[in-house]
Amino acid sequence: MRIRSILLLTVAALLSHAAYADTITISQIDTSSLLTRQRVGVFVSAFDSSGNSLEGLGKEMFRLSESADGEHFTPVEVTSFSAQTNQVEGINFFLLVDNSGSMYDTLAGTQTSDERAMRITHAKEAIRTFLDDIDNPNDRVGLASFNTFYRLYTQPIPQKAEVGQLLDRITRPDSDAAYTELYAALVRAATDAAEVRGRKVIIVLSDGENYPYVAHSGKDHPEYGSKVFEYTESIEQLQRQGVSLFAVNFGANKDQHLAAIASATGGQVFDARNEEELAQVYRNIRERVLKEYYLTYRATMTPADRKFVRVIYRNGARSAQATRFYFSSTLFGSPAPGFGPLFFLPLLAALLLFWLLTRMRFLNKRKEASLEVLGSGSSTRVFPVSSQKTVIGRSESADVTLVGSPRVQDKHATLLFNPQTRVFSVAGDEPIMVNNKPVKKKDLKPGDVINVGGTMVVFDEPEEEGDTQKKKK
Amino acid sequence: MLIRRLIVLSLGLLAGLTAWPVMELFVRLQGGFPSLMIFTASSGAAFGLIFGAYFATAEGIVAGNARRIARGAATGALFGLIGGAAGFLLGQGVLFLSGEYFVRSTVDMESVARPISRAVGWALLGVFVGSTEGIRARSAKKVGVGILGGFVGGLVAGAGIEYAWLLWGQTAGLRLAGLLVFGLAISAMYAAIEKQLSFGVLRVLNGRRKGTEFILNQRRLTAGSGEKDDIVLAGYRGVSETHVQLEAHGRDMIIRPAAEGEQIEVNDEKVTERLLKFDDVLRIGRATLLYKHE
Repeated sequence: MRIRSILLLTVAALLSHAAYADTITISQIDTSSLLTRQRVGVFVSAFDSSGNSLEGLGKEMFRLSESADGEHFTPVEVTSFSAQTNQVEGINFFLLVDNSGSMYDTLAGTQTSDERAMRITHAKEAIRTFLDDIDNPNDRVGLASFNTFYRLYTQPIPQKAEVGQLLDRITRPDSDAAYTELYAALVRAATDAAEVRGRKVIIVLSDGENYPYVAHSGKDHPEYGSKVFEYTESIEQLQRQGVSLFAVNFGANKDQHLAAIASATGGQVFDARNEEELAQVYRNIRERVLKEYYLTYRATMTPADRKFVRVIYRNGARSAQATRFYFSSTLFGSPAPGFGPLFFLPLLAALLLFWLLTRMRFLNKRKEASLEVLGSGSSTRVFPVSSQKTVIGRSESADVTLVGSPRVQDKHATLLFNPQTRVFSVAGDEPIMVNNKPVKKKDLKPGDVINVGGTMVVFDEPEEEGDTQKKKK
Repeated sequence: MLIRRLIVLSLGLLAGLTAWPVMELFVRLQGGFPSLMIFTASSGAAFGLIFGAYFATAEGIVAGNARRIARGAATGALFGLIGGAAGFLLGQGVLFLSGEYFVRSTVDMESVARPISRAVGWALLGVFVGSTEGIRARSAKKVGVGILGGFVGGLVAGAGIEYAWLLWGQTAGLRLAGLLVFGLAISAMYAAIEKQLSFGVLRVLNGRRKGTEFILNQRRLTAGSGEKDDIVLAGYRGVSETHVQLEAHGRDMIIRPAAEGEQIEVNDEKVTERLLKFDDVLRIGRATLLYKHE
C-alpha cells in the first residue's frame, strides 16, 4: 500500500513537472504600518515546477510595483527583505471533505454495505490521525464537507478534538445531494477560510472529478441556480483570499483541473490514503509556509479605495508574478470629478451667513409695559398693558385669561396702574405669589414674576429714559 | 432656548458647508503629500479647525458680543486643529485595520464592510472634533455632549456617505451631504442633550436682553456686565463687571456675589450665598432672571 502511494506521488510530481513552471503567490499583505510608516509588507511563497518551496532566493530576484487601478503599475523599491517570518505564527488548515455518493463505495470503487470498507470511513480515520499529529498549538483546523451542497461545520479553531467530533456530523447524502460540486465548494471554502487571519491552506479530500448538479440532473441547483462553476473561478477566489489549495486524492478518478488549481495557488496534489501519508502532507505544507519571504516597500500616495501590489520574480530564465490588492481608502474617499474654483462658493456663502449670524442682536425693544406668560419650553405670550386695571384669571372676561391650571381663580390677580406715581402694582383678593413670596398687594419692578396658579407671568416695563446712558457715565 | 438651538444647528451646517471645499481640495491633492501620516494629520487639522472655530462661537453669538465671537473662534480653531488631527489619524488607522480585515472576510465588502469601516472611522473623528468645544470651555459636561454628538454624527454620516456612494457613485455632492449631516448631527446632539446635562437655565426677564436664556452647562459660571462673563448682562444699571458667581455642587447650583459688597437678591431677599431652587427670581442690579429647569 505504502509503496503504491509513493509511486503515485512520484508520478504526480513528474506529471506536474512537465506541465508547470516556477510559481509565486502573495499569501498576505500586511498594512499595519501603512499609516504610521507608509510601509506595506508582502508575504511571498515561491515554488519550483514540482511544487517544492524555493529556498535561498535573494532580494535582487524580486521586483515590486503598485497600482491604483490594477492596470497601470508604478515600480516601487523593495525596502526590506527577509525569509522565515512565519516561524511563530500557526497555520490555518481548512479541511474540505468530499461527501458525494461515491465516497460510500469501497476504495476499489465497488458498492458495499460494510461501513468499515467505505472510503468515507477511511477518510475520517485519516483525518483523525492527522488531527492527532498536529503538534503546534498555534495551528488551527476548520471543517467543511461538500457534495451537491457545501456545508461548513467549523471555522478554523485551535481545539482539534472538537473538530474530530464534528466529523461524525458528516452523514450519507440522499441521491439528489450526492453530486460532486468540487469547484463551487472550493469557492465557498476559500471565502470561509478568509475570515480567519494569518496563513491559510485548504486541504480537500476527494475521490472524483467535478460533477455538477445542473449539468447531470437537468435541474437547476437549489442554491446556485443554473450556474456551473468553472475551475478558474476556484483559482480566482483562492488567489484573492490568499489561500493555498492542497488536494488529496482518494480514488482512481481524479479531477483533471485539480492539479492546476493547486499549482496556481501555491499548493500541491497528493495521493494518500493512510495516516503516515497525511502526516507527511501536514509536514510538507508546514515546511512550505515556513519558507515564505517577506518584502516591504514604501506605499505610493495615489488615492484609491484599493491598491494592487505586483511581485515579479526573476531567477535566470525562470520568472513568475503575482498580484494582490489591499484596502487603502481614506476617510474622505477618492477625488470626485469636476473640482474647480466654483467649489469654493459654498465656503463663501457659509462665511457670509456666519457673518450675518454674528450681526444678529436678539434685543428687546418693547416700549410699553407688558405681561409675559411663560409657557412650557420656549413658548411665551406677551400681553401689552395699557389700561389702568388689568385682570388676570381663569374667567373669559379677564384681560389675560389663563386656563392652563385648575388652581387659577376666576379673578386671580389684578394689575393696577397709578397715573400720578406712574407705578404698577399687583393685588389679589387672596394672597398671591410674587417672586415666590405671598403678598396681598405689591408695587412691581420690571422682571417681577407673578405666579398665577403655577403659571409664571412676568411683569415688565421699559426703564426710564437715559438709564443706559447713566450707566455708561 | 429655541433661538439658541437654531444658532447651534446653523453653526453645524455652516461648518459642514465650509469644510466641504477644503476637504475636496485635500482629497484632490493627496497624491502630492509625502506620506499618509502627513496627509491624514493635515487634512484632519484643517477639518477640526473649521468645526472647532464654528462651534466655539455659539456663546458669543447668543451673548451678541463680537469680541467674544472672535476669541471663541480663535481658541476653538486651535483646539479643533489638535483634535481634528488626532481624530483623523485614529479614524484612518481604524479604517485601514477594519477595511483590511473585511477585505479578507466573507462579509459583503460594499454593503456591510465599507459602511461599517467608514462609520467607525468618522465616529472616532466625530468624538475628537465634537469634544474640542468642551475641552476649550473646560467643561466636562460639554465634552460628554460633544463625544456623544460626534460619535452619533460620525456614525450616521460615515455609513450614510458610503451607502450614498454605493448607490450614486463617489461624487463631491454626496461628500457635501455627508459633511452637512455630520455637522448637523453634532450640533443637533448638542442642542438636544445640552439641556439634559445642564444645571438649569437662567432666563432674563427684563431689559434689553429680555428673553435670552443662558444654559448653565458648566460647574462654574460668572455673571456680570463684562464680556468675559459666561452670562453677559451688559446694559443694565447696577451690574458690575463680574457680579455673581454660580457654582455647582452635585446637582445643586449655589449663587454668591463674586466680590464683597456686590448685592444679589433672590426672591426679593438680599443674600450672600444661596442654594438655588427652580423658579427662583434673581435680581442682579436692575436685571431680573428666572432660574428654571428648562
